[in-house]
Amino acid sequence: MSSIDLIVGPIHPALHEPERFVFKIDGEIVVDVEPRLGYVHRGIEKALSERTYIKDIYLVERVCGICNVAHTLTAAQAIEQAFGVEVPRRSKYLRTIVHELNRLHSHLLILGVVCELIGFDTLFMLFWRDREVIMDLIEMITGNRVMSAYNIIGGVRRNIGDFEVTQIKGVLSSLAKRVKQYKKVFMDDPTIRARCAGVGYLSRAKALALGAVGPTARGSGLELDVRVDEPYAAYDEVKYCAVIYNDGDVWARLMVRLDELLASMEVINECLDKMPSGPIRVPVPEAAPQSAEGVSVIEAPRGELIHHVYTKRDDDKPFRYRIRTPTYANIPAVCEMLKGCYIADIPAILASIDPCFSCTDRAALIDTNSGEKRIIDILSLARRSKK
Amino acid sequence: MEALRKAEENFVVLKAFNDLVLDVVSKDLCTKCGMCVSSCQVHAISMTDEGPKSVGPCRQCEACYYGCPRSPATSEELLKASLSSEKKDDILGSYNKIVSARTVLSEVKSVAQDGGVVTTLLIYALEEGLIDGGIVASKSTIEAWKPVPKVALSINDVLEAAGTKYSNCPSLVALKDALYGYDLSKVCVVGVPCQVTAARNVKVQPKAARKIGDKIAFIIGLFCMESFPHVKLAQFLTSNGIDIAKVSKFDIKEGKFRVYMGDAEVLSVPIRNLKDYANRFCETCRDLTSWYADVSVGAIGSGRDWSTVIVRSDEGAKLFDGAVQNGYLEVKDIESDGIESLRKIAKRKASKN
Amino acid sequence: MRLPSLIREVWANLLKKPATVKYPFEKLPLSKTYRGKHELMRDRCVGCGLCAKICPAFAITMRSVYGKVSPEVDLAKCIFCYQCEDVCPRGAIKRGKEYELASWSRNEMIVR
Ligand SMILES: Cc1cc2nc3c(=O)[nH]c(=O)nc-3n(C[C@H](O)[C@H](O)[C@H](O)COP(=O)(O)OP(=O)(O)OC[C@H]3O[C@@H](n4cnc5c(N)ncnc54)[C@H](O)[C@@H]3O)c2cc1C
Repeated sequence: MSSIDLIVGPIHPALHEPERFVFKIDGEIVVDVEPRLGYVHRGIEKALSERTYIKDIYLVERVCGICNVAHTLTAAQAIEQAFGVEVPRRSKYLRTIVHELNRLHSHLLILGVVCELIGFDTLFMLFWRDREVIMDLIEMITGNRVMSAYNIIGGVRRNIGDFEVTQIKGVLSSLAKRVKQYKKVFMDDPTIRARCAGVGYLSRAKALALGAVGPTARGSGLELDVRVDEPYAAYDEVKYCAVIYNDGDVWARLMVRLDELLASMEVINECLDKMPSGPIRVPVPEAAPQSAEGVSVIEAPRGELIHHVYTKRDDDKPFRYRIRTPTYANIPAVCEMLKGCYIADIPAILASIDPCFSCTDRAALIDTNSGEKRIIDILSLARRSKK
Repeated sequence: MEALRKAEENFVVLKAFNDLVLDVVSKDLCTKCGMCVSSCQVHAISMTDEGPKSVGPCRQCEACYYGCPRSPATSEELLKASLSSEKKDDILGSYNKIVSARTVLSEVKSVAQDGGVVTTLLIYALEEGLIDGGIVASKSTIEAWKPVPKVALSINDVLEAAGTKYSNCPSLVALKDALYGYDLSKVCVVGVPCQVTAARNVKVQPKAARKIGDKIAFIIGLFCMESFPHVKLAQFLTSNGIDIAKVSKFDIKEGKFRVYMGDAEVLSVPIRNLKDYANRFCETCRDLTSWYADVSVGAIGSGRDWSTVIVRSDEGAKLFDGAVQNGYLEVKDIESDGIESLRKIAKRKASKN
Repeated sequence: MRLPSLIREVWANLLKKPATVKYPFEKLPLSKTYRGKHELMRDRCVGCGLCAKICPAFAITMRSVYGKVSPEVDLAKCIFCYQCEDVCPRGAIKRGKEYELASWSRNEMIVR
């Protein structure tokens, strides 16, 4: 059986970020896929250990613009853990609220993108219209639509008052109605069912074996949600149940996101109701008081996000900083999904894991013999490990 | 990095926290008011019983040095010029009027030191929304009679802090909690003269942390002869067979230091017997009546259960007259010998030190 | 079966104002906390350089003009986090509301 290589990327209209995929195709069917990562490697981890902790927070915010709150939250939590700082309870609630707003906007964005990719432009417009009101809320609280610059070491930077609370509640209640309507569309619209249901299947066993995270894993029936498993910020005080779908296809992954929209809104409302009064931040000196390490795991919109920091006593820069982003963990899974699908389904499948390549490209490999340094993709890494 | 290096080349020598240690702390001048802690925008200073301590890298912004009430850079001319009061007086400071006042609120009467004016002014300002919070000295829950800085956000907090603690308290540390932690925009500072000087410093000295000064709406000053470190005060009481935990009130009246348990006076010693126990830094202080406050409040000059109030600025007048007009305080003219005795004692402090 | 809801949707959208605004002529209101172009208050600044030292994007340089050292913000580098405002002890940096910052030359991108 001879197969043809179809090369997509690094620059390609169907990809939103530079990444190369080599598809081996047989007729219309994808037989194998080889991703090549590393086109947007920016050396952020090294840069982080060259800068002071205050600057680091703003740098990790730029690992990924969409889930910037998730990154700053994780970084702040990791550094706080290493420093031995306990943040005030109110700031934990505020962090949760902004984190969930960030998730709302991220999920609405990718739902819109998928709709556009499968040719349902109306729904794309509707999703993005609704995303806009969330962006306005984020701007109201943090001062900017996207780059929120909200979390800092020791708490959050801005407080919210009664005006903001009523504003958020009003917007969310009208948004919830619309999201329920979209959910109905997703349930029984023939176009969506035809393009999404049964496409890009990932079984539960495979998802587990390939280490999928976030909505990708939950769409395959894996009960993986850091908010439930290891509650951080205010999640130990609010009710939250992981959203699970068992179908394992593109449709299930989208439904997970849709249901998470509703769940997030409930979390925000509960946080607003329960929010204790008190300080929003505590002063934290710039230098680390001890040599320690801090690990923080959170559920970013795309899945589990891990920041790991080593501090050195009396040093204002981290000794080593390590980030593990969700899309990186999902790449093996997406390769598995793509096998056996039609070429036309590739964009939808790729988008269904909500890929964020700029946060993926950080793995570097150094050959100790030759000192040669190069970026290595996950598959050749796997191949090497088998040798 | 390049930009940073270039930036640093441009600098003349800037005062760092170390200069503050050299010029103030090591010379035993530090009053432990806590302004340096609040001034520091990179949170590199923390307050201990022995004085300020560096806990992080200093970025040399000079704010702590110029905000310090005892720093050689503090310019008295600027401080004096900042008050727009009618009567200029070398001993009592410049002022608009001096009256006797006391509270009409019964819940304040039972807890306050003298006339309860300070507590009532705070309650009035909080209720009217003139301030979001007050910087007060509350009582520690661990060590009896040890004052701890506190941000009073509610009337309960204010009432809890009523009554004089004769130990020095780093009250202004709470400014950091108020402005950085709680993100308040209008606060009222209550403090003894050194703290009042610091609070006025950050409002008027150009190189001090004026961001903090912008957010201080009122400064209420207390009269203060001297204060005693908490440890020594406890020692003194123990040597007189009194357990500090059982004391219900301290007072300095008619030149005597009085200690009460319940309603009974258990100790009354002339204040000069306590000289050895007083704080060293009080020896260099000449200010009895909080010269740079908006309103100064104290006991000297008025009868029992009344307070002497010195209104010094327009803001002070707004606060005090507002409280009087809204029926929070009752006022009467101060007796002429009241002012005389106040002047006498103030002069004694000014000349002695 | 799904027609009625569709008709309602169409009807509602026909009567609605457009969701967009005619941008250069009409502008959306900004939030109170909006972080736009910097306003530097030269009379307050004493040239301590804390903003330059803290700036995560290295966008602030201290320049001396007529003997007075004061910051220059390069908007081309600035990430608008306003850590400089947070950290300025003298309150000399204020958040502005101006957001139309495109320009033909780099010189115009510098706030003095
Ligand atoms: C150390 C010290 C020495 C004093 N010496 C004299 C004196 O020699 N002659 C005189 O006439 N008056 C003196 N006073 C002032 C006097 O004790 C009363 O505080 C004043 O008369 C106000 O009375 P009030 O009833 O209005 O106060 P209250 O309504 O009881 O309120 C007192 C306020 O003072 C604050 N406070 C208490 N202790 C401290 C402290 N250690 N540091 C900072 N703030 C504090 C509290 O937060 C509270 O808000 C002194 C006060 C202090 C703190």
